Amino acid sequence: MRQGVHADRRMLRAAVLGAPGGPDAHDATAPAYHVVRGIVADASPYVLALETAAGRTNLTLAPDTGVWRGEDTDSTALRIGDDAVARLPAGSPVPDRIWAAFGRVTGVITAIDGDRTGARLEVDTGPPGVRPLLIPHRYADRIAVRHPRLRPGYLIDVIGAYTDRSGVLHGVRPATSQPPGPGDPGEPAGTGSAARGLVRQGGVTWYETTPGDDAHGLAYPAIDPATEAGAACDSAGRRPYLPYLSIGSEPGVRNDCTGLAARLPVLACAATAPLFNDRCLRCGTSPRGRLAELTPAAFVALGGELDDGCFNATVTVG
Amino acid sequence: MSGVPEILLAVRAAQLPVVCATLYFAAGAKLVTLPGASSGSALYDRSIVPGPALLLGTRWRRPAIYAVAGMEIVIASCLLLLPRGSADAARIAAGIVFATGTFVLIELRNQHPDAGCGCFGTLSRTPVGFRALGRSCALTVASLAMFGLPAPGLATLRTATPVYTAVALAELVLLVAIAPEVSAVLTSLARHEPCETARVPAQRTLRALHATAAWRAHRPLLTGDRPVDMWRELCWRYVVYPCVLDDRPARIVFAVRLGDRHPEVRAAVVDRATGEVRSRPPDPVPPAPPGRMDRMPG
Repeated sequence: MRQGVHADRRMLRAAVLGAPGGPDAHDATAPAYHVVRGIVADASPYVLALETAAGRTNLTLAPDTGVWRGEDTDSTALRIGDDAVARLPAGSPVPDRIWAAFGRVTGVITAIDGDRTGARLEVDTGPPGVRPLLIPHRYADRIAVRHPRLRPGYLIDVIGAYTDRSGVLHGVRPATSQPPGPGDPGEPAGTGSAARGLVRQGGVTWYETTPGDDAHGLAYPAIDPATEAGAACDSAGRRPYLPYLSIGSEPGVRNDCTGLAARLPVLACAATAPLFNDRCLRCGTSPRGRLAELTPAAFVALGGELDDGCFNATVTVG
Repeated sequence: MSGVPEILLAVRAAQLPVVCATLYFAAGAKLVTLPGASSGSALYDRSIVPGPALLLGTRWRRPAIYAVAGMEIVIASCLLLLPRGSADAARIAAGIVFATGTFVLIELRNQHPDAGCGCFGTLSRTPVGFRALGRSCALTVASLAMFGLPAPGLATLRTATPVYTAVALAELVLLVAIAPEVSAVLTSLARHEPCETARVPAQRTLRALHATAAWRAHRPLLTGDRPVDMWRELCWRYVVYPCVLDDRPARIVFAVRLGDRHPEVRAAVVDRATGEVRSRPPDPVPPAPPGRMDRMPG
């Protein structure tokens, strides 16, 4: 459906204003990745079978293929039913890295409770609503280093894994440092005159999509409030710190760490991005502000590591 | 020539219009600028509620802001209306409110250095600094300075002397001059909002479109009055209507340039089945050289 809206609007836009120019999808000097996302149908030390939207895909595994499933491990940790993203260097049939059962919760804590397994949180992640998050005792200290206040009203951004079948994400590592207060994060960077214009630098993160969904796209923080998803995205009268776009627009995203770039369609609203006025430290220190949240497939294709949470990026909206 | 005691009395009495005007305006600004709750989402609330309400739990923030606004109206009204015997009670109450407010702002500054004072609702988004704290202290002193005045509220207004009027006006001007809210509003007015980040309601775009020659030229083709799709990218809003051209179902897409009273509008008719562009009327103006705003994402 969204892909349909995207293609339709692109066609109508080209009809009335002509096809836009702009950089090619990929920087020719940088190696590109091929990304496969699907549900694990079978896993052995040598072969990984993924059920993708296009059917079953068999991937050969090498002994040095890295696997992340809540922690760095190997292919024996993969379970049938896991949601997995495999990254294949250009021209290689063998993935060099696989992320399995990954997830991420980003938003405002609305409730917290504890039991013998750990701290159980409810987090408002923006529409469509509240999501549960479990922080197991063994990871509590690691998360507390950068999220010291697990209290209602405070922000949280945690990467984790669906390591059991409960459907509740087990948080294993913080994706950023918690802002100090539950208050208004202030005017995000990007409002100053130096950050005007259609080319912005900052951090780009990823967001969880439906397991197995291999769409390449992004969620954008400034969707036109007058139309469709914008009403839910409108951050309550705040001045937008990025130019307005709509579902189906195609901003260019460049990973400043790898040099990889692509034009990605806007698929959703990034409701929580404006709340995090943080910097990405993946390679150097990015300017403040989250420019977009990528789908896992798009994030990995641009050279991002899902367990890292962000990369320094340049986003071109026009 | 008045003696010093009379001048001092006039200066103390002149605090009444200053304090009352501040209280009424603060209450009004809180009530007017606090947007209605949309979804009860914590995400929504945290981005709009400034001030000491942040020190409270999410569910108490809005009631607390309404309560403070109500209290400000009541105290200002008491200062004006209470008779001689009880007027001092209202003056003490005003002093206590401003003194407490000062301490709360200091606490807010410690806990949330980036939060605005919320004194005038969402107008007060500038982080609490010496100007907000100084104003709060000054109003505490002003309220207590009225203590013991012989004339109650409105009576002092009726017997205004030139000194009274001059002092009251000077203080009001000073309060406005040091208000961080005023600088913030002036800065945002002075800043020219680029069209790609300006808020433009969809209805305004439709009204502007319906007044154009391009709309009138295409109107006979339309098969429906309501747009089937509408979206925006940067400075253009696209509006799509169903139509029929040469007995074939098609769609008209209008691109309306935002931010102008008489916007530039372009239109194209696209075949519904094939996606082929069936007609593209000549642009009313020669195409401009590709500027920053004309580059579209795609």
